[in-house]
Amino acid sequence: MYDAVTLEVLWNRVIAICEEQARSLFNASFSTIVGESEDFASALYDARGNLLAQAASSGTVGMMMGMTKGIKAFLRKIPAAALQPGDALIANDPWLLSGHKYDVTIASPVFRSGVLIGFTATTLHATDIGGIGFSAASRQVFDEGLTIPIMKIVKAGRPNEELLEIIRENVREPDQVIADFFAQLAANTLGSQKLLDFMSDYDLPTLEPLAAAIVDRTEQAMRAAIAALPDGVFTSTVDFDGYEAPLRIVATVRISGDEMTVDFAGTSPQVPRGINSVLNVTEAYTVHAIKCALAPDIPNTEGTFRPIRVLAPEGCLLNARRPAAVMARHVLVLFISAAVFGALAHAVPEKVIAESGHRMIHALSGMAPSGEPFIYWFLVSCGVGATAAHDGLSGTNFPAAVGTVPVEMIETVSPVFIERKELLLDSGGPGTFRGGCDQEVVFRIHSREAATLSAMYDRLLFPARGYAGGGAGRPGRFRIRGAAGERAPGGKERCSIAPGETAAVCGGGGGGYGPAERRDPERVRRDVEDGLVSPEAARAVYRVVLDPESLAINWQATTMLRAQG
Amino acid sequence: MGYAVGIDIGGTFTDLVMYGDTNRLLITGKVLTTPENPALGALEGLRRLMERAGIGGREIEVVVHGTTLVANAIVERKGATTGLLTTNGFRDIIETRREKRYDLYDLSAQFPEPLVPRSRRLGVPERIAADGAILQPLDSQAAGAAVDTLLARGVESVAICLLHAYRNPTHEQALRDLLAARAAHLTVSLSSEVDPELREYERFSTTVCNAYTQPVMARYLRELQEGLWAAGVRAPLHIMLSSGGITTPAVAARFPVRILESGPVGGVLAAAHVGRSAGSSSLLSFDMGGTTAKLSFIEGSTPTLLTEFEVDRAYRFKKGSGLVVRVPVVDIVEIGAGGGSIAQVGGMGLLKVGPESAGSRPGPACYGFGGVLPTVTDADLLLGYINPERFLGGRMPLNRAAAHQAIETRLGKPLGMEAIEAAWGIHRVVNENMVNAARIYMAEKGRDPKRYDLIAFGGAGPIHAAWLARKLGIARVTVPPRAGVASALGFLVTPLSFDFVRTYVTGIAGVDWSHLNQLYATMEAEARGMLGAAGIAERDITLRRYAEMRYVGQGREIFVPLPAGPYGPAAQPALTQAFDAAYAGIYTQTNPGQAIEAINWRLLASGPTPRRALISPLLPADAARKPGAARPVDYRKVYLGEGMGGEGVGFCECAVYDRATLPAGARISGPALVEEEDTVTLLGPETKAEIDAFSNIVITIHTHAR
Repeated sequence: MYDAVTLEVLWNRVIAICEEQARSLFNASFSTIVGESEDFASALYDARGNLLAQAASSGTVGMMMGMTKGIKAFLRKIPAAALQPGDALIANDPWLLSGHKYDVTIASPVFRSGVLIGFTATTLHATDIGGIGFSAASRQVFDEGLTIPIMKIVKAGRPNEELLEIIRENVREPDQVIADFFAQLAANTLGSQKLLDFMSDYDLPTLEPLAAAIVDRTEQAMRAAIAALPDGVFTSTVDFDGYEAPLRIVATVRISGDEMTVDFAGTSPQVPRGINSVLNVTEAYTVHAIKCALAPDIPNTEGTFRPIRVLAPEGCLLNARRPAAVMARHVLVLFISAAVFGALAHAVPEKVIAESGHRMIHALSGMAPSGEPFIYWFLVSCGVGATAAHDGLSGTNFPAAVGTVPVEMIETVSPVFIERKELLLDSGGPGTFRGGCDQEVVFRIHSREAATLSAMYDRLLFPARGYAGGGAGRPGRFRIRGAAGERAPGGKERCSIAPGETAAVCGGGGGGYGPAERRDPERVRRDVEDGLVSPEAARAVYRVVLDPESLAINWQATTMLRAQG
Repeated sequence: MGYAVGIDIGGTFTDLVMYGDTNRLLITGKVLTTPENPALGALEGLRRLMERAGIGGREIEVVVHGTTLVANAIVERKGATTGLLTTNGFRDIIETRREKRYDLYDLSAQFPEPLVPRSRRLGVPERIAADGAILQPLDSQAAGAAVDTLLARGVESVAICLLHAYRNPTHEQALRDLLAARAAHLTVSLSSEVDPELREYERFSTTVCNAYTQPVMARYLRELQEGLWAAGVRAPLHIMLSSGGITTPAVAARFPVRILESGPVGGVLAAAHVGRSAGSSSLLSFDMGGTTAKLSFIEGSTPTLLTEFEVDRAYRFKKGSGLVVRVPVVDIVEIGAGGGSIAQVGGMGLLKVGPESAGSRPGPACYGFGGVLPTVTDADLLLGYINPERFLGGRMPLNRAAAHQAIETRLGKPLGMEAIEAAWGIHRVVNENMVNAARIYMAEKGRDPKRYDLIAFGGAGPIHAAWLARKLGIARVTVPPRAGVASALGFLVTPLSFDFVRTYVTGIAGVDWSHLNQLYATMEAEARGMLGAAGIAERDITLRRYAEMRYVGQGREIFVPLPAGPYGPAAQPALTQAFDAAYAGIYTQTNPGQAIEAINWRLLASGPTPRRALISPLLPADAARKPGAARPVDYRKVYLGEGMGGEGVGFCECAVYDRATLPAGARISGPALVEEEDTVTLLGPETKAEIDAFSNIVITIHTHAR
């Protein structure tokens, strides 16, 4: 057993090693998505594959479970006895790891005096993995590029050239993809060395006792947070646009003492398109929502997840059966999050967040005016839900924390031209605290012939709902405008955009929190002055009367209007 | 006889340093900052220094000044009523930022309010393409109407931020003319002048911060200048930049964002100076004060630069939670670890230290100002490192019983530990927090801390420095004298400098050499003009070129020192080599064959570095010093624990030295304490120190552990 000081010191050190490993990978990686979005993760494990620590400064929610359970999956396939110093393991199996093949995990066993003492691992969103490319249109996982089963990428210090050759022949940007693998290997090696230094600094022969102490502490803290909730069964249903027809997620949260079960029974069956989620990803977003609401500060370890059981019927959207298509799982994760918050809202309404608009992603491809083929993608963020104490953020990504590429960078490196990127009037869900405003991005593509826009949009039909009496945000919208007029394609369509046509995309406003007529009139006045709420909405929805010229609050008329109920 | 004066206006105190270049007289002073008009305090402090030195204003040859005024104006929202004119359709860029939340789990995470509300952000019809071509000419009529609207809304300052203006500034310039014609009294900031670089959020945010603070800064500099004249000081006034250089008041008034971080930078410059005089050029500067510890690494005696930082963070230590300001700034990492950092039992039953701080009010429990929460200073007092009678030169006696009480009730009892054990725990945890932060910082830069010397200052720095060094594998720690006014000292050893940048995105294989030469020619002409106007002779001007380059596909550029120009096709291998060398310096290996591109091209133009030893006056009157061995002035019981070097665990009798009586060459063996007015240096067992010719305490650490 460690005392409260020693454990703090040792624990902080292993977290610091994860951060050092993460920074090293960040510096050396090639993938733009890593550079602009920090879409990678870094972690340390004991010899049995128990997660000790994860870098907190990077990593997406989707990678969380893959990183937590991944090493145990590796060890089931390649047991400790089959590992030797200088080995490194690789895999991207969506079901064992992070839910789509782009996320490649590389794990390095760490040996001390010839004995396996732990693992260092990194996951990184590869630039390409082959197949049909970044799209929701895949019908089976086979369409989605190369599966790398769990195998050795380095054997006793020698790279597995056959494997690298197969990968090289199957991806679009082989140099970048392979260079990123070596960046991961270098980061793991650095992490391993730091881990060994750490063990000799503190005379630790093995990591298991430390792992046990860390796992225990986080488990206890998570249990204490759950125990503070009222027992009960709370259900929430979330509908969304889906692929060809609307889909539904049902979350039932059962709180009993210091444990919680989240059951997704009632959720729509899996669909023959790339928007299905494997159970690891479902768990990751479920635990993320629970942690946000209850215990944002508890680090992710094995123990954090123990008091929480996540169930989803096999073959449903949230526990897709092989060979389901899973590449564009990011389309659906917002709704896992919304369903869990919706259920928790019955128990702890003050700790949740109203529904948010959708992060709209599109992959664009075609022939640039120069004759070069191009593939490019960027995302459009929208309105985030309000909470019991704050307005939602406008034009910001949720539940992921990934940024977008600057307009000037998009226009410099791709044939995309942005005409407009601006917040939308009356788009945030009304409430005592207003949902975040949506933003519209209007763009053209400078291409030789018609370019292809592969949409991965949602919330065109179902807006983000408000909580506690707050109103819904405005739904998202997708239009293509040209000389021939305007058309409204579906949210998952592969559309053709002629040169000169524009696409206008927005993902919807965030839901409001609390009744709109209780909003501080001064905040309403400022929203009107700022052009975020119309004077008409101020009067009709917020029941605030403003002088049409000066925009000063007419307190008497406002009080009367609000008193009418 | 010429004197140089350094003035550093901080939040609480204004520090002053006066140094005689020929007689080597150095006088330091501290006065309370006068927040309403900071020039008043500074002038009063200067008057006192002149009185003490017995000199008149004419004997002062240069005044170098740094101030937190700009940062304060932003944080306290005391800047001008500002408007923003931008490309139609893009007025929300400063609000939606990078569209990214800075915390994955915190649902209530907020951003600081934009400095310009949406009602004063107006679009004008115009458009420039990424290559600088004008796609849509500026509609002057609509622009005029937008200007009228801003004037009607009471703006005093305007930021003009158009897309791709870094490539083609003509529309921004036309808008400025239009503004000048209608309202000549307004101050105007152009994004193409304040920060002519790609990436709109960063450029717009920087330009808005500039516009917001410009009137405040101009007024302040005018008052300070007039005050100096009134005091008979005819010397040029120079202003400290965040980049570690100094500039003229005219430039500072145009670009106030460039002086935002001048205070902490002074400390790093002082560290570089100390290292230079001690003959070591790879340094880690470690400044631990009341609320934070600041680390900065120095390579080749020059502080390293970053191209952007954040001001007014919603979460003090959280990257991404502040307003981005993209100007060259000395690379300093700030950690929530200072003397006032609060220790508590965290959610997981572990002893946590910081980042919350008790500040100076109520401060640590031992201050006796009503603080009941235990802090690092309370622990250091209980462990015997701080002398309660000599704190701040004895002006503020500390209450040991209060420290004991706070640690015992808040930590000892809940954790089942003796108070001393808990105090030792605080000391260990805060030390390890700093060690970890230093490790991550160095990993981020691709550096090995073992190659560096540590320079420690700040009130708490010298107590914790040896631990930090031992854990980082650093063999030598230098504690300079007069650590309390390090920033103002640093101001006196930095050259006048100007920096310039142009964005020109190009593959190294396909550079348009004449275009690039043209860019540099323009920047250099501007630089020579500005330095010449500041009185620098042509032969004393140093021009250095840099580029921000990356492998095609990488999301992040690195800073690459370039060979001198002009360039032609023959320069291509030289640029590639320069990139490879810089890249390998950070990441140890390169990726031969991978295409390289450059994003920004920079020029750093500077005058001569002042040669000021700043030595002898740092010694007290030589007569008071007796050559020979160091003699302790006292002995007291000090706690020595594991991790300090040596075996001893527990309280041991320990020699205490008075720094003022230690002559050059004096040697001290740990365990020992060296006390001075502002701080105390802690030497663990098996640690040796020597006083060098510059009055520095130089500690040698035997590093077994890493």
